[in-house]
Amino acid sequence: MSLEVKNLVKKYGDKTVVNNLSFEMKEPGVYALLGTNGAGKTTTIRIILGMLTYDEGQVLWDGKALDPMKLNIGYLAEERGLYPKFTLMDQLIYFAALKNVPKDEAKKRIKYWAERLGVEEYIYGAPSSKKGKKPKEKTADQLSKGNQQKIQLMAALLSDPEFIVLDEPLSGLDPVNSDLFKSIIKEIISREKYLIMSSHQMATIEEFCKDITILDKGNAVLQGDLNEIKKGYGRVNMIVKCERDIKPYIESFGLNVVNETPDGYHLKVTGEEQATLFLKKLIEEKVPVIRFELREPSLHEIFVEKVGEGNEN
Amino acid sequence: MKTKLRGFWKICAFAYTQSMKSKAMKVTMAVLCIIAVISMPLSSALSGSTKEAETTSIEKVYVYDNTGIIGEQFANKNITNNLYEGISYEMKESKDDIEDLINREDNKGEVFLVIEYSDNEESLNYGINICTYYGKESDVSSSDANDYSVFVEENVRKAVLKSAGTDEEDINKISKDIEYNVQTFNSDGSIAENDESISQFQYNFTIIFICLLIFMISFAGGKVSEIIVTEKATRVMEYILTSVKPMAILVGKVLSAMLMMLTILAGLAVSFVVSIFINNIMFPSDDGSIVLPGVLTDMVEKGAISGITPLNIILIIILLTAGCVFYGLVAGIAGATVSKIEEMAEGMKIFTFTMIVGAYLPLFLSMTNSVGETGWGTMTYVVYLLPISSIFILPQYLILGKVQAGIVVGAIGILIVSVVLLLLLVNKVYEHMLYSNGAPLKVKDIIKMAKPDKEEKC
Repeated sequence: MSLEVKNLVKKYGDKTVVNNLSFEMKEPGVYALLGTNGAGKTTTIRIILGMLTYDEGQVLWDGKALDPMKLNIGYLAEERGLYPKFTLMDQLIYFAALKNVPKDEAKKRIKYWAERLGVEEYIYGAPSSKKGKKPKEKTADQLSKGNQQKIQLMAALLSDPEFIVLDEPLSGLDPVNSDLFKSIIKEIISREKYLIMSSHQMATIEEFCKDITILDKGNAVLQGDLNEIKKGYGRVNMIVKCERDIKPYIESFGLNVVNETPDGYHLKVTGEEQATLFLKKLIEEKVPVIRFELREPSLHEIFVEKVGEGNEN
Repeated sequence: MKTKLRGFWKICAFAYTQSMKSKAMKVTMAVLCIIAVISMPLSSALSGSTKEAETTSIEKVYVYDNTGIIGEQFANKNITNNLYEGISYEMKESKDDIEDLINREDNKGEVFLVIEYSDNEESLNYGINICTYYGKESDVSSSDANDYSVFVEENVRKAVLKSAGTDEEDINKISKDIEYNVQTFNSDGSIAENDESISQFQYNFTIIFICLLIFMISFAGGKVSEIIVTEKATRVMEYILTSVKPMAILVGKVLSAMLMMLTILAGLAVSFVVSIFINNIMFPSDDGSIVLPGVLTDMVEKGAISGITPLNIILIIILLTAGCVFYGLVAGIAGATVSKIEEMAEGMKIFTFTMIVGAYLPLFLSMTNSVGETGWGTMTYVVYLLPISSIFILPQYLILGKVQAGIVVGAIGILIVSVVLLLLLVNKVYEHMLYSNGAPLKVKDIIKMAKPDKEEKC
């Protein structure tokens, strides 16, 4: 199976919000759609999910036009949505029914995910202190934002979807719940699902995604295998921390200082050769080196370089 | 179309069960049913109508009649019934005599019947005036005085005929209601069209039906709109749209609102049956027959049910269903044009305006028909066939035999076409609302959307 987006174009009046976008997922895994706010990520996701029409291009699943009504898709939207006044169990069963999951099976899955996400007491109700009184199930408006997000994730996964779209899955979560969500994403990956993730948290993307597309004003400004992209940039980021001041050596090598922090100088080098020569010089001069690190640029740095700091929120 | 509607039943079932489970719905239903249950016994208790045949506090009636043809028929008991058999009458020569009697301190059990004819065209009392007087402080109750007045009113024609020496059989014939019609005929002598004028009873029946429909449609429309705005405001819509198409969402919501309405009506119908049952236990009739609400007995007695045939019932059900779906879709689209609950009133303007125009046109038509005016001509057919107004007028007129089945079939066809066009518009409205979060759509935006696209995929 594979997902293929070919030359996708979406216009609203004169404004092109997605311009000739193409990407492909040939095997299960996580694909990242990145971009600033308004870059066209959510519009692309909505087109793939069949919510919006498009002007040109193709969205293919396994070589055929993707039919969201036939393919089992799980979706966690950027803006969370639950009925505020209905019980959680009622709405989860409803969401499962819309995906053709029988009620009994839905209940089993709800139990599994409720335990996994630690939300049983909200779904089934906390035991009442009064003897014989039925536990009162909670409604969505009685839950914290984080817990609502857990219920929303449950709704997205209840149908055991083949293809999952997570739009900003970790936004607004505390570190503990963030780790919980990450463990669930890992579980999804281990089940060989196809997953598209959109996030502003670059570290999370680097943790999970093999391939990426960076969008800017509807255009794909960078895309491909993340490791290959990084390799393409080369190891040009050097961090050096010594016991003595090394400013004169930096100047003599003509290195560009990106930042100066307590953990050392963050420098830009032309490549590994220049970095090796610089290290050699420090050793020759008997400068005690505490830290020397040469690495590829981070996704954050690549993103900022491609999209521009002015655009970032 | 099948794919676009897939899942509508699940949407409908969920919306229906959740709405019926809501506290507001339970309270509304309970209040309406309680009102329906107590309505008949309460009405009987207040009016004492079921007991009216037993006694009256009136003992003597003084009559003054300057026409000389009405009063003496009552005074001589040529016209009476069981209730008024025991009353004594006394004719008075002048109105002053009546005034003297009224001015006495004690008017116990007395009523004064004054029948006057005035030929002064300038006078407010031009023509025949009949007035029943009774003492405010006397022991004659207002309901007894009113009942006697009604008795006189119902028998005036009979009194005139008796004075003229008409025999009993002819009096019975002429005492029935008289229908006045104006009909046109074609050159071949066949009747060209039905008479459009309607009687007071037919007018009342039409108005009650219009009011009931306004209540039903505004309730159901408001419910559809409320659910859709809630789903938009809470962003649930986005999740649902991954499983079903907008058309299925809207159809599901409209059907759920109609089911809600039917549930309320069924509840009310059962409550009315219970009400009739309780009323018959509390206030049984003299002859042991079942006492029914006046409107039902009137419908049977005045021949208003002559249009109730199997074909007409089917046509009415289809018309009402198509009309409700039409208004439900208008409400759904109106609800989809806004994104916040607090903006709902703004979005509902389109729906409210459409419904008011749709209901007022038949209202004016039946008003003019009730006063014998039939000059609406082509406009009458516009009201019959317009998708916004047909539902408000054709069911009643079909029952009353005031419209031909062919016109109803035409109106149903137009309604179905309108429903299909609205459904085609739904996808675009939903797409727009997803893209422009929070920005309400205006009527001109919707009209723009209605125009066909050049090329669009998916």
